[in-house]
Amino acid sequence: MTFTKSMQTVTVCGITLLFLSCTNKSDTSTDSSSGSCSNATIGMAASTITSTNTNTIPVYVADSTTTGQVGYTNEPVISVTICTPNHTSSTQCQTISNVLVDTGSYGLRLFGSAINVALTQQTVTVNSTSYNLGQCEVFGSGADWGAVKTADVQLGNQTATNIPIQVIDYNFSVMPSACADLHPDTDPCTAGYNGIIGVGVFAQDCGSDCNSTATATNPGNYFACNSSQCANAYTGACSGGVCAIPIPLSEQVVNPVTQFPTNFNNGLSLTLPSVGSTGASAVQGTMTFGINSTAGNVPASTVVVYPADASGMTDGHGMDFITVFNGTTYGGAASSNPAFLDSGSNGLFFNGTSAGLSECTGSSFFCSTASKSATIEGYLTTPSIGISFSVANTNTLASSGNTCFSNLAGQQSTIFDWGLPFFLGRTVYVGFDGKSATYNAGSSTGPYWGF
Amino acid sequence: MFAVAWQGKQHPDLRQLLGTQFANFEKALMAARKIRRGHAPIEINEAGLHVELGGSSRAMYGRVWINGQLPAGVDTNDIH
Repeated sequence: MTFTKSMQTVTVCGITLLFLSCTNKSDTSTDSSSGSCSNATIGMAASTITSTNTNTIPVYVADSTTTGQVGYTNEPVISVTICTPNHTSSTQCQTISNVLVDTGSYGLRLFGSAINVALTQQTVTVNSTSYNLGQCEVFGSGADWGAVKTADVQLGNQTATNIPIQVIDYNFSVMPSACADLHPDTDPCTAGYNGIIGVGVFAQDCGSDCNSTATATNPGNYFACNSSQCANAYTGACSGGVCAIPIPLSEQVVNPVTQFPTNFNNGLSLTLPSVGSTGASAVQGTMTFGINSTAGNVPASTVVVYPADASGMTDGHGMDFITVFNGTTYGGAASSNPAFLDSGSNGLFFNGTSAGLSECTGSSFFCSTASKSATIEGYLTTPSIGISFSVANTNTLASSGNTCFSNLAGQQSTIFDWGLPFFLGRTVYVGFDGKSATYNAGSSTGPYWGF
Repeated sequence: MFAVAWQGKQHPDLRQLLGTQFANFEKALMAARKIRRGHAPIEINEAGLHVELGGSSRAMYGRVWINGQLPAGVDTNDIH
């Protein structure tokens, strides 16, 4: 490899510094944030930034001076309260701030180092022996390793009782090498968050595939663990003699909002303000639970619903819908190049170099300024809408000192990832799989996106 | 094998796929994650190695090839 170490360090660290993401605690001289960053937990006490409304919770894309956030650019976070399952007293609860809002995954995952209430370790029985349930949850470009435990999960005034969550712990049992190869999150300081809350269009993080004993079907991301090893398959009486470990849906890590009471569980919406061309230092928005089910969650008459792939959890397409950009179709049943909305991506990522954009030296973010447009369609091509968006010079954005940008974008040659910038200046509706809500055009059943 | 592309519910075994390039991939991955934050996709394009990884839960996407080892006349846009 001719890409020299010194060149790599200089280039990457320059951008890292400007983007408030030098989160290594030994590197405080280059971290312009004033919040605290330790390996155990990040950010200020969360009690000062929780909601008092019945079906909403504040979302921050913010700097440290206003919220104590110690993360990175375009990072939407909320505070999550967890309690001992079936708790009877608030003393069994704690609120954890700086939890990444991720519409690209499913389920709550919190670093074990940030948790100080008692949760219940889930177990799985294999060949009459009980093991602790572990998980390697794989994301598009990362992973989380740790134990599956149950907790009561509160967002604002809504509670999902006794649901499975992942306790992120790099040192849980013995991490399988295939998981280690994906370099799972190690600690809050490095990750830039105390956890992730996956609130995408599906409920469980795996679904029926993980309840299969067939190793060809079951992805094997749940593990039976003891103190010396973790296994995701065993010798048994199933076909071929090697069985995957089946995990029923009720025991899989689950999108907590899908487990809220009626009126608050058919979907959610994310509302974030727009920002100017040079960004903003801090913005506050709202996550609202339920869609058109109670006062305060009625969609505007202009909201249009774009269906996602209803078979997305089993056909390899996930929460796919269609985006057409520069003559190429991303997403949909016929495309092998996905398109999706992902609040957990910190920019817009698409094939800009094919449309005249240039990458910054040493970085795959763009250094061009341009206005672009694309067409979003439902998974089966209808309905459709034209979307205009801006791309700014990343170095100019970085020099502004702001932390929230609608025009931060980078090169990704074969997918179209509408990250956090898409959500700014919009209310985006996340319609949950199998749940219905009524919009101006009539009833829609998830999975879908609306805006 | 000089180029591999996939889309599906899982990533392939990257250590096996990349062979002797895996250590270089790991270094580039860690560098990329410092600016591609959260669950952003990554695209590594260095002398010797091209890696794209992205997608959402249960929908993994990627392309890998070894730069300089593509046969003459192969357009990378045709790797899919």
